[in-house]
Amino acid sequence: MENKKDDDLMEYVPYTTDSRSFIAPTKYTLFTRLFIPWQLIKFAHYNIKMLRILSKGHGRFMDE
Amino acid sequence: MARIVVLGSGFAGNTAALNLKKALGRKHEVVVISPRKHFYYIPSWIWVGVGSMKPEKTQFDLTPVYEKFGIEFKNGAAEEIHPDDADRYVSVKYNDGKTEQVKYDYLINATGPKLNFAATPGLGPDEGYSDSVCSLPHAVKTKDNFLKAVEKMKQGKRQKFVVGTGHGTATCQGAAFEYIHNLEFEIAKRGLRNMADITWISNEPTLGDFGVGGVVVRRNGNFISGKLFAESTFREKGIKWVDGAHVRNVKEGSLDYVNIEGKEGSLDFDFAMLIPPFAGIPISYIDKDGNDIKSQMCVPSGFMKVDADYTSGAKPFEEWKNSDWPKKYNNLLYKNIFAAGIAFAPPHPISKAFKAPDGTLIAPSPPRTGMASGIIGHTVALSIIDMVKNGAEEPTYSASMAEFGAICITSMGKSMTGGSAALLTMYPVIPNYDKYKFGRNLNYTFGDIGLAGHWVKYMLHYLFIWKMKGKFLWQYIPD
Ligand SMILES: Cc1cc2nc3c(=O)[nH]c(=O)nc-3n(C[C@H](O)[C@H](O)[C@H](O)COP(=O)(O)OP(=O)(O)OC[C@H]3O[C@@H](n4cnc5c(N)ncnc54)[C@H](O)[C@@H]3O)c2cc1C
Repeated sequence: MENKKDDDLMEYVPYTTDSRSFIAPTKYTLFTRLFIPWQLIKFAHYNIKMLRILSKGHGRFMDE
Repeated sequence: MARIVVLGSGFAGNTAALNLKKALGRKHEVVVISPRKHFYYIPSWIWVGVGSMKPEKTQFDLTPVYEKFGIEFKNGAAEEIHPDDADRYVSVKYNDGKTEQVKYDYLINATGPKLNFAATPGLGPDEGYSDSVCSLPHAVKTKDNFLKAVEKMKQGKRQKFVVGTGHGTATCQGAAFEYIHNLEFEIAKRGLRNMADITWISNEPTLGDFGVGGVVVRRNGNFISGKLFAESTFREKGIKWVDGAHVRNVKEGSLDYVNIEGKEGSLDFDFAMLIPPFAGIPISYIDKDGNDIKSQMCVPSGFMKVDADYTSGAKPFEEWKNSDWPKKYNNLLYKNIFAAGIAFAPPHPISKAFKAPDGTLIAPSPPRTGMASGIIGHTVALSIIDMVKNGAEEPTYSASMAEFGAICITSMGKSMTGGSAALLTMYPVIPNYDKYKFGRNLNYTFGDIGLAGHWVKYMLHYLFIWKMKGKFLWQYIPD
């Protein structure tokens, strides 16, 4: 369960344990994560997402 | 007139107490017993632990809140519960050594966890070699040690940081995950990233499990596991990881572990923050004849038994069911006693339990987050209100973790312009593979990372403190 490639985790090295499930954010992704206009939209989106979960009623039911 | 006694004033206890008093008014008494007179907003301790939030901002005095609400507050620790009708009381010990017997009609045990550092030799800041962010004094000490390591890096001394869980059955991986990212963020902010080796060690069978069996979300036309999310953040920040690991012992500057495959290893460190396993707060349960009935009231780890199916714990992962999880949180022997928040005993883990070849259990305990604790505290309060006001014979409200969702905001750096957090919502908390292909309803299960997540985390800090203070419109802020 230990990641095999210790030296530089950002590097993609073919045929290693890591390469089989390699994932890392692109520069574009990193940019959008901090780009304030986009994040303002996300902020509104997140609040809607959270309200939707809360609208499931917290699973709190009263017995019939 | 009924008297409801609430043990503990954390997320579960305080939510229950405020809702009880609001609904029951002056006709009935609500008493809160807690050894600390402050409410602690625990989720922000990860910021205290890296020095990015002042400790005072995470706590407030409950005395004026309880005065305003007309709740009686006893600043002491519950030591014994005598549950039999003829002699029904809680024995409380105050700081000055005095004791008092507090009678009750209904009792809510919301005492949270005992930090069980003793489970791993050398674990913890008091008698061991690792730090913790699970109490405020610990978080402050952790910050001091972190800043000392920062000073050393400034002097050109490379430092090794290890963050994660300190035992195979620990929970709260989410808090450790937040801490490691904030630690990395603070080091990078100071331009010292090339002086730090940062390693994650966790009992999760795979990264991103978080003790909830992992999550799958829909993203860019694919179904993606949370493992990839977690892995992506570690690669981005150059954090190494060891997963599926039980820490066998912690020594000065190093720790030994064994993993699910039986591999023994060790990690050297200059600084380690390791979350301990939790146990129930040590409270005795005594029947009318003076017999100790704790084994009937609690599971071996000391958490209180409620309406869960505890026989399911002996079954394999594949046979666990949603119906194993409690709904009403009342004790089955004494239906006027409830447990809410971390204090209730879960029937089994949520994540699959593994054993190393030598039999060492590596099984993350189920997290009972602040949100779940608030929901449960509120639900128990509603049942008691119904029993007191309308004479209901049994608890009438239910809230199973198999039927409600969770919102987890995992901070990855505290800054209003350069910070970020992972927002993860899931529904339900306990996966249901019979109903949903990936265990959860993907319309409500969602994950994303970015600055907006940090804004949400910051907003919730103030929103919840407002709610817990019982300020204007507090009751409309969701649990
Ligand atoms: C570092 C960290 C970060 C976290 N981050 C998040 C997060 O981001 N989101 C989230 O949802 N959850 C988070 N959690 C989990 C969350 O803090 C817990 O789920 C929550 O505190 C549990 O609430 P509780 O009321 O059960 O227990 P607690 O909040 O621990 O409250 C227990 C109460 O019982 C009292 N007590 C103790 N002993 C006795 C006694 N003998 N008699 C009477 N009273 C007693 C205590 O003083 C306290 O008032 C985090 C946890 C940690 C440690």
